Amino acid sequence: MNFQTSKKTVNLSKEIWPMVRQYYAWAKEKQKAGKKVVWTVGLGPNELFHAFGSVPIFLEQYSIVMAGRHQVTKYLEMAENLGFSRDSCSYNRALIGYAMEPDGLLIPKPDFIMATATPCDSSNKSFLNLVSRLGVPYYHLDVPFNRMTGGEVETHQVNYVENQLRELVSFLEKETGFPLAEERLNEVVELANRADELWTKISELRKAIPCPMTVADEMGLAYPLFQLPGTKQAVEFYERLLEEVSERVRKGEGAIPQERYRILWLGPAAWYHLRVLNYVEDYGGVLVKSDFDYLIRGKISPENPLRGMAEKTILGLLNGVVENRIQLARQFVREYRINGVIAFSHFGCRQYGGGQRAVKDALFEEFGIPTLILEGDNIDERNYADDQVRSRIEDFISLMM
Amino acid sequence: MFFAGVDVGSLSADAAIIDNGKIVAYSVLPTGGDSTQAAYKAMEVALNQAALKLEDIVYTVATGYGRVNVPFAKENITEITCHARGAHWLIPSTRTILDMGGQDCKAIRCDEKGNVADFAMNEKCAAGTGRYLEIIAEVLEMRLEEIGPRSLEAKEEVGISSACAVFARSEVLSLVRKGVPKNDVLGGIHQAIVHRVHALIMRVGIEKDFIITGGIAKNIGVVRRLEKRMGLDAKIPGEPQIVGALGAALFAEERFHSGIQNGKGGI
Repeated sequence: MNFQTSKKTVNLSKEIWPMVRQYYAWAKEKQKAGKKVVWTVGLGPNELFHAFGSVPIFLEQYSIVMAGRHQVTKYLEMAENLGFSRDSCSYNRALIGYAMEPDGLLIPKPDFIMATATPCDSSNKSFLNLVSRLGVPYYHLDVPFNRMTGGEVETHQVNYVENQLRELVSFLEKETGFPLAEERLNEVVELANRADELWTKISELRKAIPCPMTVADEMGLAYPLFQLPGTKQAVEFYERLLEEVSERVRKGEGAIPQERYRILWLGPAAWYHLRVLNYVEDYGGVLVKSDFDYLIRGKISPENPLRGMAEKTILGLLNGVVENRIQLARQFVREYRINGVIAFSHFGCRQYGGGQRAVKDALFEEFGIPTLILEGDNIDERNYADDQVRSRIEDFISLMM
Repeated sequence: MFFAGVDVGSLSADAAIIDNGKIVAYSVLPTGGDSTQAAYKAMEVALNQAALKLEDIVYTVATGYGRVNVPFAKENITEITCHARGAHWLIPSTRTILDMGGQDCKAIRCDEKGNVADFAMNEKCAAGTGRYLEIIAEVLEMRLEEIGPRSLEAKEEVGISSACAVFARSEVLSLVRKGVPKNDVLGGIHQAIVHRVHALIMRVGIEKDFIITGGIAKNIGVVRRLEKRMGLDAKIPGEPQIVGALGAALFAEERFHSGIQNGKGGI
């Protein structure tokens, strides 16, 4: 199989991989200089770690990088050799593999680990395996399932998570040896909010026809949003991105010469073969937007940062009733003038996979547009069948004709 | 004017030639290891039947998983689209199609014009397909044509737990060793297939008329059980294996004529 990365439309996309590599190298240096490295998940309050001057490593994102470099299979096999089923989530298997050989990684070993119950409980279970292998302190943030819709959160749930975040602050104070500097926290929150605001503006621009920035770009460009919230680097990067995308809109530059179909992508992608994100372009289709960035989005209240972080975490797209995903998809279809939807369903994922049918039915009922549910693995390239994927996409295009 | 469609599937390569709204010849041959060769062979057999030469065909469309390896085709179109077209042409009241092929199984819902409205396919597994039944027939030392009718004579359907074709083989072997009658084993196997494909059909939603195509449409054991489970009668085209090739031939005719309209001289 000839795996390929995606074709990008935005120049700044080229800076993502160097940025990731630099971050990992920087993390190793920081650790040598005495800063603490925390292995964590992307969907937690990463702002807090930046506020403490510690270095969060979002491990699923590391798996994404390793999948893109075709180096993740080794770690998957290591976990499988221990007896973990190939039918289980590959992200979880990869984590266990990393912990078995933590010295050979691009990232530094953790000084402590923090995981959340979002998007799934099973990641907590695999983190426990890491904790026992690496013998480092662990904090588990229990995020309750959001039963509300329309961006609402239940007060008792926010209280519950906020209290844990206070506990996490004490944990971090103990592990880093420094008390939380409130000024620094406020600064981090302000930077995180600015990055989020910029991302919103960029997303607004993507409603333009032709589409100035595709999902092939978005998948990489969302990286600072997850890994670097609350840093100047993220803000400066998105300021430049906003400029470039505005320029493209002004000049009327799109991904392909003539857009026939504007397509919404739901979920992450096959990271080892991102070229899939360009397949629709052969038929005049463009992937204009994904819901991937909404895994964790939103502003943090500057008046009460910990409470704000609690709300943001609870509101993560996969941490709640499917109605929220339906509402978001509806909004995208209307605002981005969508003709069809591709939902990527990661093998073994009960979060994204579960509920896609409901999204599909709701969109068909309201707009009469088709949804292709594409099944595959996000990082395990051994399960990938390109001919099948191509055929599915070709057939899906014919549904929009 | 003659138009042709070639459907190169995983197990069989089929060709259909049409002229003036009629099927004049068709063929169904095993694909083997070389899909280009298989496409030529299938075409040759059909051409001979109609006493034609390849040059007599004005436009050919290829479909099926080997569609890109058909040098004499002017265009290729995916099998879902071709199946819907072919089934709709044969039976205009077609709304839901279940195509059970050699290694894949697809459910297609189409509108009153034969345009695809939705589809679903089996992923990463050959259970519920022709290859699965071939394996079972081999294990039981029976002819493929035999197993469907025999499954209907089952006194008691044995529960088959394996959805996997390879594991089902061992499960069947061990049942036979235990002395379970072959008919009962076959009853269970057929029922297991029906459970799987029923779920696939439900993913696209069922609407009448319901058509079954592909090699398994010839298996009465699967068809009867499926009808019972869904509570409706299935319609089966006279030659269920050429529906994809026929759809491709119909597209060939259409593309040729629209090419003339666009001033492209038919191509």
